[in-house]
Amino acid sequence: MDRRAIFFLAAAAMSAALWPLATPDKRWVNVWLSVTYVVLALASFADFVSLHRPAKGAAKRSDDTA
Amino acid sequence: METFALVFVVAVALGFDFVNGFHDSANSIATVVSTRVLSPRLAVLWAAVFNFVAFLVFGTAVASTIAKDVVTQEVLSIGVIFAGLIGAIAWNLITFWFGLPSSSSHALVGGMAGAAVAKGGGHVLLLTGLRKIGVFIVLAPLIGVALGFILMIVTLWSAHRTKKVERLNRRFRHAQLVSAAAYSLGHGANDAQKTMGIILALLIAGGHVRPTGEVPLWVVLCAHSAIALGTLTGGWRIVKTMGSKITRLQPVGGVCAETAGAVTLFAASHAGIPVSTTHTIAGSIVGVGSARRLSAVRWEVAGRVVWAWILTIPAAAAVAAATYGLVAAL
Repeated sequence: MDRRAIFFLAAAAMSAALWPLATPDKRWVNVWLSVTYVVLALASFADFVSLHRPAKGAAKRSDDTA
Repeated sequence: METFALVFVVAVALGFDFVNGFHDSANSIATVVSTRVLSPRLAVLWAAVFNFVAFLVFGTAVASTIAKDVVTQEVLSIGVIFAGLIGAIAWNLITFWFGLPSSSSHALVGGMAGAAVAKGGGHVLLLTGLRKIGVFIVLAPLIGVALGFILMIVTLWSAHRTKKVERLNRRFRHAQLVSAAAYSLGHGANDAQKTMGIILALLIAGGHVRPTGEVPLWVVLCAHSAIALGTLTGGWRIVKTMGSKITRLQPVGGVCAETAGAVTLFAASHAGIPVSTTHTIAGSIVGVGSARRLSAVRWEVAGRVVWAWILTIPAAAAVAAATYGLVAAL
């Protein structure tokens, strides 16, 4: 489980949740921040998946052994 | 008698500014000291100089927000502002004693609001201004986290050909002087303006400045001098929390955290939003730490900091309201 991606998604949700409270002239900050955090969460998740995917060579070697 | 009271409360406001510099100096120099780029003595001198010269770069939009957008002008009096300041100073000293990096800015807003409500009731609060400040209590550290994380990733990616980490850190040791200067500039701009706002409110309440008037130059110079002197005196308990307890920083991380903090403060000062310099740098440090891995951030310390943030406004408001009760009874 990628805890960093979850943290970024929570930050995006918090920023979006504050949108109605923000003054109209500053609401764009909430929008940009939410979008940025969603992008960071996706990038973090992609990084997590690529780091935890077993290498192709390793999989082949284990097949040969079996 | 009224002139004496006015001069006395201006002196208390400048005292608050001094304590603010003393309390927040850690934010400006924590990474420089913890990565041993400068000695503590030189680091505070470096930060104090840039705290002072900030008035040459930034306007007074934050001062205007504090003076005119927190409570209605009619409720402002010397007694209310004095009580608000006492609430903020008392809370700053309590958190300083416990080594918690709470926000001087939110203590000030909480103090002003508490004293004003004690005098005039809930309707004296200006909700538009408080909404603007309140939303950025949360957004400022989140912006710091995002910028700190992005800067750290971009920096590490652009330097990935450098084989030795020691060589990379050596290169960034001197860059930290620039980033610490930028952060101190932002700190001076945003925090000194809060005191300017308090003094402006006092002068408006006393009829010395028109309600639509600008901040007089002597107020600007006094506020920047007070915060610079406070920074020069320094506060070492909080340096420890900010510099090493949230996450251990290398020079490259220090540069990214301070640059992220400085950019956030420049933007907030330009937009007239009083944000917490403490929140901002703490967020930037968390962002830089989480670029390595999320477990590099010591969340129990970050959690204590968050509790100090949550408690600041109500605690400062309660002390200020009690102080106003005493002032009114005298």
